[in-house]
Amino acid sequence: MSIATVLGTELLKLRRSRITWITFAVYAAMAAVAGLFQWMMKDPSAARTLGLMGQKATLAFGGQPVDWPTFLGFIVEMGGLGGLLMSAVIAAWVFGREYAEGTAKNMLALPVPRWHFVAAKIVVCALWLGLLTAWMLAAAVIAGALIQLPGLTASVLASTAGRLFGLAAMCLACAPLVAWVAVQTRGYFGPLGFAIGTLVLASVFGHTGWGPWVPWSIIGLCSGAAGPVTGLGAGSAAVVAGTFVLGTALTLGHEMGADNAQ
Amino acid sequence: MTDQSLAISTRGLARNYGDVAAVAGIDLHVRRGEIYGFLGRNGAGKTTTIRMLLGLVKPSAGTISLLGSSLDDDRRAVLSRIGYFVESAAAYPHLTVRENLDIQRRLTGSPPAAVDRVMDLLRLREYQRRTASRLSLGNRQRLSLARALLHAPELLVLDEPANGLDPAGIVEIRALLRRLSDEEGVTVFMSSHLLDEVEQLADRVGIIHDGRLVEEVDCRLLPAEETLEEHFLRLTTERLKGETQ
Repeated sequence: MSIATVLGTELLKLRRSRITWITFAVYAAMAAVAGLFQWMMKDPSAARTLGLMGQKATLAFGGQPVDWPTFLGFIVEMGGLGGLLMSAVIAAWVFGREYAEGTAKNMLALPVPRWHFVAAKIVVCALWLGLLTAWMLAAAVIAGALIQLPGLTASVLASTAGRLFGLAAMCLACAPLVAWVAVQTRGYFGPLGFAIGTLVLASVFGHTGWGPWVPWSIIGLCSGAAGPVTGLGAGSAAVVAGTFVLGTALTLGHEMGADNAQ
Repeated sequence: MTDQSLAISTRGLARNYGDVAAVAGIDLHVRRGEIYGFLGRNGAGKTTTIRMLLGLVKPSAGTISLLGSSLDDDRRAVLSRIGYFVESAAAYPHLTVRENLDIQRRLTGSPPAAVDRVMDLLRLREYQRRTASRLSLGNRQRLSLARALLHAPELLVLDEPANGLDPAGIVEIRALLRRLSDEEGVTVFMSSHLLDEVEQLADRVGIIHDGRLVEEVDCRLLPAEETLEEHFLRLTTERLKGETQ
């Protein structure tokens, strides 16, 4: 049994699921809202008269130029924090659904090495998050073009794409820990609670000197949400890589051992 | 009897959960080609035993041999010869009947024609484009049975296979299992609460009580004045009374 066969079946399991479309709709909405805020900031005095939306737009972009680099910088910030939450939702669903829907016991008694399922599911998470990231970038480009922002260059676009996909890779590195919580708690709620907890941790540690050593804070710092990127180095990269290794090892350990079905 | 002549052989099979012995050392001997009913009250240890047979729960003690081989020696080779159905009829709800079966087909390396064969066998063809979430409980049960049969296994391990089926469905599944056993030599190991059903179908019955196999009965040798249901109730009630005294 090749891992490609298992991957094919894991991709088939996505068919007709609403959650797939919801994640794409959420990412499109994020790009659209960013575009709306930029459009409002074309006339800051008018934005101030637009109530709550105007306040939000001012908060996001106030004092900054209305152009592509500013707009795409905001998209990158959203891609970081949104990606952290979205990667958790994806991992929770891909791994947790087998327990929530009662299919784990069928899957784990198949004549297939169990690590194939774990590997294939992680690849599905990567493909899903990768496509979402590309989709968000495309939606942002369309939104920016519609509101006729100035200053789009190939290098700005390439830099944004690089940062977005880099952040997606970091978010993916945190996903196996969520997957482990999903298989441990046998469903969706545990991993989603865990993901919300990590966002809180990211925020708390992001404002202290510990940010570069906490994986979820590192993503926030890299996205620029906490200001210019500083203090991140090889140590932070090792923390993110270590999080992936730890989460994958824990998930594998759970699925490879017995006593792991419903 | 050698392990090779047995489809299932366990020795001292036990599973403890903390201080509680869910299964307390059972020796099962299920012959190849027979239909073996595995009976017990709720919490007697039936499902834990079935889970141990399939490698879903690790035994605390004892050994398991399936079709002459141990799961520990070659898990994949052994599991590729077993069809199973554990407790509830579970399927991917967003996928159609055909897609659910196609996943099983791919993962067991079965030919594409196997999907059509089991859909015809379980009368699922008219529902092939219906998602599993829109199936009745009885048809979900059929889908689970179709999954179990898809790769033409030599041994079927079924936990409550008639659950949710209407009387006509029960008769149909009984005839199917009987035919698989008689014509294709498939061994069927099944637990059920429908004792009348088991009596009509099984060649032998094992009764588990409080984690122990308390009796193995050849259904043909049951006394004429006692049904399997009466025998089961008498045996387990006597044991319960003995435990409370």
